[in-house]
Amino acid sequence: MATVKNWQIKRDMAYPYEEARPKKQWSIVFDLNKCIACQTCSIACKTTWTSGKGQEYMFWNNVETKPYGSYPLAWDVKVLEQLGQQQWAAHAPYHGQTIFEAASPNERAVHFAPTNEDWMYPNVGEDDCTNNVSGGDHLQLPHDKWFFYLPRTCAHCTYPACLAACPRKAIYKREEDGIVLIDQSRCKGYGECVKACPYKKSMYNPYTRVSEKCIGCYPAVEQGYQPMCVQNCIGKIRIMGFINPPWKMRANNPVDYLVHKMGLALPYYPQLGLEPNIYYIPPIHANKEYLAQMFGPNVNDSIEQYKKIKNDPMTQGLLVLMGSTDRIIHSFDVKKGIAYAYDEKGDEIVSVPITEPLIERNAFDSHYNAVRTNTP
Amino acid sequence: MKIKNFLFFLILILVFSPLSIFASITIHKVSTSELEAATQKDYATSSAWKEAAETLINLMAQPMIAPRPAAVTTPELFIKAISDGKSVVFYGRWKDPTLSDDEKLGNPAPDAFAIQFPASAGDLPPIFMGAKGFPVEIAHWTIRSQNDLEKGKKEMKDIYPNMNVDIYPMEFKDAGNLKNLTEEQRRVYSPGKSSGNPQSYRKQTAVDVIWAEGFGSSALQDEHDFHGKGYWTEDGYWHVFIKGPLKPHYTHSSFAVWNNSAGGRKDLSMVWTPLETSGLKK
Repeated sequence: MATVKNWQIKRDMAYPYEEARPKKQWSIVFDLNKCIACQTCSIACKTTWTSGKGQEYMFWNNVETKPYGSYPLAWDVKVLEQLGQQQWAAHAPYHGQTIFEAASPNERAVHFAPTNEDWMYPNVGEDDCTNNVSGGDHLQLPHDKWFFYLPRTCAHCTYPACLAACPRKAIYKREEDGIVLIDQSRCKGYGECVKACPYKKSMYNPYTRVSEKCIGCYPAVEQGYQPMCVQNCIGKIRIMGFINPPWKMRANNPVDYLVHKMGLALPYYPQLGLEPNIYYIPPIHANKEYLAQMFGPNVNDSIEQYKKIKNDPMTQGLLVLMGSTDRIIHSFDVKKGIAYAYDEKGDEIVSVPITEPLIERNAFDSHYNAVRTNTP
Repeated sequence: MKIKNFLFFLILILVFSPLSIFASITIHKVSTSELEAATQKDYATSSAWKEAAETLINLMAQPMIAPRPAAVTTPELFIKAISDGKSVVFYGRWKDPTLSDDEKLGNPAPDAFAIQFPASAGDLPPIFMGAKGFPVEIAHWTIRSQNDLEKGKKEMKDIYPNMNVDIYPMEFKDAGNLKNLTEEQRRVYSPGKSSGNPQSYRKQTAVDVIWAEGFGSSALQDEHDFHGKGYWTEDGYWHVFIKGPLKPHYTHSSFAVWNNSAGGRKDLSMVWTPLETSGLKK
């Protein structure tokens, strides 16, 4: 086992392979205050990649309701149960064990093996609230009755459990963008990756008899475009970019800005130790203890930071750039109420006003000699 | 480090395989017609097998690299071998309470059996899949390959009879430019197939032949002369026959068994077992 640096848990940890960070790291930030579980992302992904035989049950991108939903069934509850209770104080390194460190010598990672049936209920718990609303109830903040939606893709982890578990080394992490792929010509369908991934984003295809996973839409990414799930998001809750580790942070890089500079976005279940590269702006009204289990003990800091956005034009600008372009935004700027997105060369991709201008028109259009109907 | 590993495993072998490290497999001479008959359904009554000596091979949970079984699931494998001088048939028998050939999600690795030989004359390769410059040749039977060969590769409706799918994009017949999809275009929707992975195609033989030079290097051979047939009996035993050419460099063999219902990870023999062929020269 090698010793590698995991900045999310603020300490070194054990991993079967040496640390080898890619030149660029694919990552997505999701604003969970905005997800409405319309599932457009799931269908965009399915239409593009998983409409073949054997892929019928697969959702490389899925959206589940928390706390009662999960796909596959109980994936997070089960892996946390296998790992056992661990300790993590706020603003300190993680004291507990990662899934690699807690593994028995026979295993690469603490895991549970999903059964056939576990995959068959992707909508379980959808829209289930933690409690019923009864007479006399009134709004409280944080909500005493709550749920939120959790959209998730493969996290293209820095320390993937799938890659560690493959006996044939048929899984690799690309040096150019950190995307983790299963080599379809070398996989023999043992299913060890399916067992090992705690997020359960490696999936066995019973028709081709090999395993598959989210490919980060690498054909689009290679051409400078964001993944299908990001491009098609109706609520514009997502942005895909290339994250740097904190010691190489670039403040005008959208993902670095949200994760490192402002601390608004956090990785999920970082205590598992994979250094996942999908980051979430936490839902600010959900139960704080639940959020701490999912996002770490510093989740309150992110929530408080989010509440300050109303006075922060730079962050507001970045949020309106989300969903404004299908191209990957390498850097951004906000000047005089307008947010600008730039590509790798520094050329402008798009500019978006933070506040949409309000235009009043006369009720009667004299040029066309017509009454304007009251359609906004 | 390599010497340390070797010594460690030598000790492991000596502790856990007290009897079978001294075993050898005597290949019993038979006529060609007896050889052909010996893999049929009435193998139990075949005189060829009655006369062949049986060797007990002790198996261990694969010890070298995680993920691996926590404990051995098939501790005993019984081997017989017959030959007409040109072809050899190995008969492997082991206890397995369930026939596992289900192709659903959950535990994909089918019940399987493999025999490993040195791939060339000279020094014996390391027993764990060989090493660079010391290749091994492996005849690998699985119940799934046998089912493919005898019954055809399962379609999704065979694996999940109650499933419903509205449509597959590659099967649009009337939709404009998708009307005349070529086979290559259809295959794009099955990444395993379009990358040419043999796993994804109907197996044309119940036995694959694999060459390897160390862990993770196994490569399927396109053409070979191995065949196989397995029978599972209600008393909870697999009886698997693997037939192939008797090559001069097959001086030793080792074995592996996969039991799906016990987790599907490999149990294997820890020592090369010599093949005794002196009886064939008579």
